[in-house]
Amino acid sequence: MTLPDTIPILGLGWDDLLFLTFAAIMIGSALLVVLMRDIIRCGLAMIIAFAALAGLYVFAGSPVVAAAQVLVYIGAISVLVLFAIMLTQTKAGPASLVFQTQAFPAAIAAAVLALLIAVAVAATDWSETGQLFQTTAENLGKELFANFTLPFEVVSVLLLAAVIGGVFLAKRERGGAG
Amino acid sequence: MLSFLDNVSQSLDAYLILAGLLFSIGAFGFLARRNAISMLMSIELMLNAVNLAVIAFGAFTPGLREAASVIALIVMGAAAAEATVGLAIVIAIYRNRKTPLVDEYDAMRQ
Amino acid sequence: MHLLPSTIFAATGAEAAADPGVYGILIPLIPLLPILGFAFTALFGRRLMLRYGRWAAELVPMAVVIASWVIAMAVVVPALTHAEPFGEHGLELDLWTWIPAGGLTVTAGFHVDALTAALLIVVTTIGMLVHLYSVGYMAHDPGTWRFFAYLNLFMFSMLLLVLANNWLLVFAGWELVGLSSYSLIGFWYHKRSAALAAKKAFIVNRVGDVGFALGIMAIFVNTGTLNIQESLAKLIEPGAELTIPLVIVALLVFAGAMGKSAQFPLHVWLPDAMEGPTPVSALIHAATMVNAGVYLVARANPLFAYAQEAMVVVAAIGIFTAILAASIAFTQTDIKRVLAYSTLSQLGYMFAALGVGAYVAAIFHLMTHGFFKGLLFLGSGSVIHAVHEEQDMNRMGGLWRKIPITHWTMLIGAIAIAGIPPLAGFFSKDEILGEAFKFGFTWVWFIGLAVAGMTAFYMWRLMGKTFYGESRVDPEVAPKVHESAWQMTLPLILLAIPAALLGLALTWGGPPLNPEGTGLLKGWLEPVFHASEEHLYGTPEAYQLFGIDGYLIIASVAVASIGLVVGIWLFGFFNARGRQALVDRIVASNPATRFLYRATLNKWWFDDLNDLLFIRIGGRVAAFLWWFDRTIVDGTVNGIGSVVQGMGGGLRQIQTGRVQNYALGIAIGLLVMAGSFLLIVGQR
Repeated sequence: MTLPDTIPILGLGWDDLLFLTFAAIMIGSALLVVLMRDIIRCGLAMIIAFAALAGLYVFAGSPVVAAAQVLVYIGAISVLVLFAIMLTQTKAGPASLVFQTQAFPAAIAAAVLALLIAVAVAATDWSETGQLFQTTAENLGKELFANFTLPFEVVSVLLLAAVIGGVFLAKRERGGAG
Repeated sequence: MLSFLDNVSQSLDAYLILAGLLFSIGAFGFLARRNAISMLMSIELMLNAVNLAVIAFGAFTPGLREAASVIALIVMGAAAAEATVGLAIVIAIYRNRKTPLVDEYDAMRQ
Repeated sequence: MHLLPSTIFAATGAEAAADPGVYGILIPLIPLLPILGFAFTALFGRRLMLRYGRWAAELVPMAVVIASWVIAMAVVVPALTHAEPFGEHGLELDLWTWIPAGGLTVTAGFHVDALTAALLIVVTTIGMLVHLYSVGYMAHDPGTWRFFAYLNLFMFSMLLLVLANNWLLVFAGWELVGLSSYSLIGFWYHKRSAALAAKKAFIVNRVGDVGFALGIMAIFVNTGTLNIQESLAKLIEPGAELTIPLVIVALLVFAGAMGKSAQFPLHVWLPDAMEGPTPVSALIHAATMVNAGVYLVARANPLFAYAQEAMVVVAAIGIFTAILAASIAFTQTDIKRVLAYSTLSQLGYMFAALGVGAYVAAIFHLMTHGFFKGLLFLGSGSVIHAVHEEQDMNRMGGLWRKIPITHWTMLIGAIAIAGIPPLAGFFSKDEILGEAFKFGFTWVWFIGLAVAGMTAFYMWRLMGKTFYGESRVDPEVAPKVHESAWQMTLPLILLAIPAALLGLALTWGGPPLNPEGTGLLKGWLEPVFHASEEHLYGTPEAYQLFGIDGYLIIASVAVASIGLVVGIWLFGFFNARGRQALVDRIVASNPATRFLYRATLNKWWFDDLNDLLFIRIGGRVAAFLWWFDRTIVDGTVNGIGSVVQGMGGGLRQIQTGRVQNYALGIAIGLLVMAGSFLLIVGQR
């Protein structure tokens, strides 16, 4: 049995439906990240958001980046965040205020920002753009190691520095309790 | 019925609006949460929004193509480095102040 | 040294010789010696007095004043007789350029003519005699050296004022005289009343000085020069365009004269000035400083002659002061106060004379008054000394036997001031009244006549209460009453001579004894006032001894005699005692006399009026202004400070020390900028 061309009632294509699903999951979990009280759950919501984002990258024609997203963000950064949360837990944590006093003005500012971007995007004429382009791994690899070698090397040095710095900063005092 | 959503996955607008929305949410979280690690998570969201936008432009702009993906990869690398160091700092401060809540770091207050 | 009238008409048509010869040295010496004396005594007087005794400190000031007198007499004689190098219009002696400031160039210098000479005679002679008198009077005072230093300073100031040839120098002398007067009135500074009196004198003088200073500025604005002769000539030029009308200038100058010569309403300081030692009262407040105002108006006579409205004002104020002061003298009990009010009254006469255009008469009276008032004051000082510093006349009496020299000299002075011929006062007073009548100022003549009678009356009241009848002296003091030392009685005798004879001397060769001729003084002073008199009245009529002038003489002598007789009858004569009880009954008899008595005793309440206006109301205004300054001005300034501080405190709240707050600020700023940019771009 083959799928119909478009979704029966809504009239959307299957691609669009999937796209919207991923988009909804991403936005929803992002909201959960910033709004939930328990910070561990915020971390988990962040993981879900990253996953949905990886799906959106696939839709945008960069499967390599999607894979990197999963590897780096979900596999490394999120774990790092969760470890840090566990190391900085306070007993009073979940019970105290979640938000700053300035949360309300911040919300308004964020809303205005979103509005601004939406208006700017909608007002711009994107007719010069073409069809969606798929970036293959082969092309990306050629581009990366041919034209962008220096940034690539620099990023690796940056990561090295970050690792050393992180280790140094988070190290315990010699002989002292943690 | 929802005709404006036709071919939405093929339209640049949608990606950009999504990126903007995600960025705003991240901005709100950064400005409003008390816990320092929540702030860092919000920063990660913002960086991801930027990545999404870059990738979207790369898909639809003839001149960008693979370069956009390279940019996204480098941003990802930088974000990883930043998360590492940031979290290390938060842990170091936590050891000193015994709290991860930024509004209690007020030693510079007048 | 010819004194005959014929030499007066000797033609000295040529301009005053440019070469002053020996007078170029002599004239500056006249004021220079006293100021050197002041400097010496101020620096060394105290030490000299403590080491060698009183005479050591007094030697230099006395010598200086005597030397100054001698030189002055040597200068006065050729000046009065219009000999070379003085000529008819006097000798102008420029010494050095004082203020070389382009548009305003003032040379310091002296101008000596007959008017100056007349004043010099009075100032130096009485000054010298007062210095001698002070040796005796201040014999028990620990501050004698200070006294003589101030006296010398005063002599310098007065001489500077009289000799100056430009308005600014006159003003300098004017102010210095005020300063010396302040120092001398408040000489016994530990006495509160003396200190207050000195302050009052200075402040009231200052009020007049403001007018004078404005007048000098007005003269400069009008003429561009401050030299007296030059500016006066320019002011009266026909067709001169004056920025400030002559009347205003004249009135401003007169304001200064009012202050210095204590005319109404600036007369309030003179009676209080009696707090100073008696020699001071004699010198400053009878013979010299108070005459400065008269001198000023006389010197500026062209200014007044061409502003006749101002002259009327001068005459009115003068004669009003005369009768006001005379009325107050009726009831005062302090002997020096009576003399002070008498001085006010006589000064009023002088200004009345100046106001009607009888310039020579005014100067004549100035000279005679200087001598007999000086005599009276010094005599009163001798009396006070004799009864051990008692000044209330009700506690004197019957002294004529005990202090004869003082008594006889004061008697001469009293008769002189009463205007009884042939003593000095008669001549000068009669001339004033006669001229007033003949120039048409009948009201001045009439009031002046009344004042003459009042003068005779209150002077005899003074004599009667002080010297005659029974003794009301404090019984403890009575046996110790004695005549004063020779240093005090000699000046009295020396002053009695001109008090008696000066009138005759100065009218020698002229009316009233010689109706066709011109009196000595008139001849001397003629060139100074001739132009003004001609402008006012044309050529004068001939003197009619058996016509109008004779009647006027009879009138004034009669009135004076009546006053004298009534005074004698009421207050005693030699051994005959006065009728004090009768006096008291008359005073208490009806409401009008009771009111007059109270009014004159309270000096017509002018001091109270001044106190109310300036102290009370002025004090309220000052308090209000102080409140205004404190609350509003300071409040505004402090308020600005507080506002700034408040704003700072408010803005400080932004610095929370929290990064998120700063980040929100950045976010909002960014949004605003982006939004406005979008709008602007969207417009296009």
